Amino acid sequence: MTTIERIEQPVALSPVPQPAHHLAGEDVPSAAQAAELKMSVHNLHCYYGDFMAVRNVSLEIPEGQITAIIGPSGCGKSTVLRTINRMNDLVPGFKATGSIMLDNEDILGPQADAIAMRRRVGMLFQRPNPFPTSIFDNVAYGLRIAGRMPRRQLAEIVERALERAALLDEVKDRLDRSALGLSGGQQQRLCLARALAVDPEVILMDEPCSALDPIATLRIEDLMRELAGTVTQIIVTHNMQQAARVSDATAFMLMGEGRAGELVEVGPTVELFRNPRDRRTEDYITGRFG
Amino acid sequence: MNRRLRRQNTVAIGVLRGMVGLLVALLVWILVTLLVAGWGELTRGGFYTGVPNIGGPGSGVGPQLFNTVYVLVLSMLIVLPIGLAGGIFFAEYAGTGRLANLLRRASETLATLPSIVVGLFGYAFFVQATHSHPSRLAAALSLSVINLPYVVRISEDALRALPPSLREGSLGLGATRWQTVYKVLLPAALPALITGAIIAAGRVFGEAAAILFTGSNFSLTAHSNYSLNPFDAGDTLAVNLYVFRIQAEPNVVTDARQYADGVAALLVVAVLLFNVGARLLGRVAVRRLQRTA
Amino acid sequence: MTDQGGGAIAPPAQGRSAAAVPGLRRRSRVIDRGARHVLLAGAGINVVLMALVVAFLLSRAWPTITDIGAKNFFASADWQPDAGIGFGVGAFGALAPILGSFLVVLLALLIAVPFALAVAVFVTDTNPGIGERYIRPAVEVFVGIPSVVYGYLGFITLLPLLRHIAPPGRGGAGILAAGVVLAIMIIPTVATISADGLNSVPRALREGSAALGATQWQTIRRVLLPAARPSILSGVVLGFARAMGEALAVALVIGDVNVIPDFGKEGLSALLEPFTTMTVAITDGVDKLAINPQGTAARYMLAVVLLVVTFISIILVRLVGGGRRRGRA
Repeated sequence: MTTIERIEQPVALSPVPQPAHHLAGEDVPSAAQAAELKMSVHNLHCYYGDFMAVRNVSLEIPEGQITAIIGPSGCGKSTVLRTINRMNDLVPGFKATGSIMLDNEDILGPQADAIAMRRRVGMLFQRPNPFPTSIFDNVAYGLRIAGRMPRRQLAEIVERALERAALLDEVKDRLDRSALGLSGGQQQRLCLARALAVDPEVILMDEPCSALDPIATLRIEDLMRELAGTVTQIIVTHNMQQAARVSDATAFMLMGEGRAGELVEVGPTVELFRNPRDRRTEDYITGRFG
Repeated sequence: MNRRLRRQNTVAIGVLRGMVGLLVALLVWILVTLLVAGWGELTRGGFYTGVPNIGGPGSGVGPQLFNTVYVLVLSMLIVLPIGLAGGIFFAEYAGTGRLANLLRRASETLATLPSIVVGLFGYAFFVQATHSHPSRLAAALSLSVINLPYVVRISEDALRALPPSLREGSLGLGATRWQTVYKVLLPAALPALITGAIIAAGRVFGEAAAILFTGSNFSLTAHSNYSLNPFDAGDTLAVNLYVFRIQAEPNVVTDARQYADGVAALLVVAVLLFNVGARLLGRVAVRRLQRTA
Repeated sequence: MTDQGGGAIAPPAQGRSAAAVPGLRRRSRVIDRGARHVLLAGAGINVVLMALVVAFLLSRAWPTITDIGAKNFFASADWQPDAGIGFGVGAFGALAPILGSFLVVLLALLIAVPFALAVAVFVTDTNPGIGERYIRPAVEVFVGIPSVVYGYLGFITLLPLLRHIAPPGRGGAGILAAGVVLAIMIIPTVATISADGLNSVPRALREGSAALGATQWQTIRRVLLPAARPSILSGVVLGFARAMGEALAVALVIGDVNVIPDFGKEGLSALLEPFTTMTVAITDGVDKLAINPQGTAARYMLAVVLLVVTFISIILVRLVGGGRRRGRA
């Protein structure tokens, strides 16, 4: 079902078992936990220096599904996302406590290898950020830094990644041209292809459509639905309608005490939007603030 | 495979840091070597007041020190007004039109000229063409040619750094552009301009090639005797170091090495002082700017 | 709108200048226009000076072309410009100094560029904290040291060191010594410009590379350095120009001998044979400018060559430096 079709039809509950709809802090009966978890976040706190930006977030990320994190600006959702692939390691003074499980390993643990993890957990950024090289070199980058590979094999993987990102047809005869010559939407799909080339298990998306026009946005959302099943996706978005269109489960965050972001409520998207359990969620969804 | 990449990363960045460390160590070693070698002369009062007396005891750099300051001051007197005028023009009056671009390009080109080329030009223009002889005035003029693009640039930058509200406030009250510049902008930019002037002075302080061609008398012992006449020739400290090194035979003259070490050390000390001075003034300038903003 | 200055409606200053003394207003305008001309002159002096430099150097160098000929000048290595003083006949083949300049500068660049890039990357990416606090001031001190002092230091410390590995009887002066001294002098230039270039590579590119699982070194090597290439090349070209023009520091450590070292026979130890450069050849004649017209003209010719090298460098920087502007509005 394409995104356009989904908008017009009421969304049926996905056949895959959903995580339970619960408020933050509520204990989830393990019987309801039928979905396979790809990742889970436990008691995550994030600090920039002394400032706590995120307080005690716990979240389950079911495998193969699209999980959206929504909330008003500044509520810490990007911080959480960037902590999941440890991009915040690049920020001086950043600290995270708690644990983030990828399959069975805690990626925040002292033995964790962030670099290896980032090949399993890819990221799409708010603004497309292709390297100033050719389209081919962009997509091949992740493969080349992982080791040597014969050119033919490289080319096959590059083509396949571009295909999965629905970009191949548009660029297949100019793979050697600069990536900067593409339009915004194309560049973002290029970045998606770049991320897909290393065959990640999870893809994180930080408001990936905020710099794109509506048509390009819908194309990205279509791609997300196509990838669902094989790739686990977590998308941060300030656009509720997008979350409603695209995701299987949604988490709602809000800035709480001391300007630290907190998780309010999480559950299957349809339920969260139809029957929000927390007053604040309801206010946000109905547009009373944010 | 990941371990190999990690190791490459650690090694590469380690080598990088090592190279930087090596350079820092080199700098420290340069400063220490020169200061230690020249320490004896630097701490001897007679060094600053005496005159060159190679072959005999107690040589000093009095006249050269005086000349250095003399030529420096003379050059600053010439170049600061002109450079400031140019800087004001670029910051406040010129647009991005073709004329402005041409002027800027000329300034940048002038800035890239080697000082020895300017020295040769200085000889041809300030000395030969005027049918005169090497003089400190000619040296100062040559230094001005070298420094002019730099003074223009720092003046322009100092003015551009001022908040637009200053300009708007003044023009809004009916002042002409020149009045704005003269009464409002220049006073506000003064600390930055002074800092820039100090840095400009530091740049020509160590200049030797240009002065060699325009104001030197190439002699170890003949000196200007503290004369105030700009038409007299005279060596500055840096020129003296060069002339000395080239002309003096260290084996024949016993004091020679010590004397040269002293001159070199003195130059280094002066550079450090300039640096510190400019830095301190820079901080004052920033604070002043934040208050006007 | 006339106001005696006490009116409550119009702002006092405006009221006064608009109405009170028309003559004052006109005078301000005249001053303003006059000021513009004066300031334009100040800016225009740059162009005038540049033209004068070219004109004077060319005119003084011209006799070399007419009397000696371009072929003799550029192709012959027989350089005895001062032999003509008195009753001798001079020779004006400048091949050796020209070759020497390029060799010395090439060696200096080979040494300097890796170190300069290391410093640049250190300050922008691997250790920006230490970089800002210690390295930038250190670079400023490096830059401030007069070139004669570098030359002198090379003379008293580097040459004795090289004497140990030089061919017997040689003092250690030569291309290697000059290359090392010049390298130290141009590292700040190349490093500063490269660092600016690295800083202007958008953060998003660093993030994109890291998110794909690259190590920091991989990001530096594969993304940052290539992206900053225009700036790095600019820095290298400017370092080249600066090194070509350096006179006294080189003069103190190169030995000033007009014999082209025989690399074929001696291999690398020819780098320890004394040699010369264009700037050294010019500096040699400084005390004979008035009394040796032909030699002086030949030296002016060398200055013209240096001028051409400078101009070509500037053009190269413009071509290669891409869109990097120095922050002018």
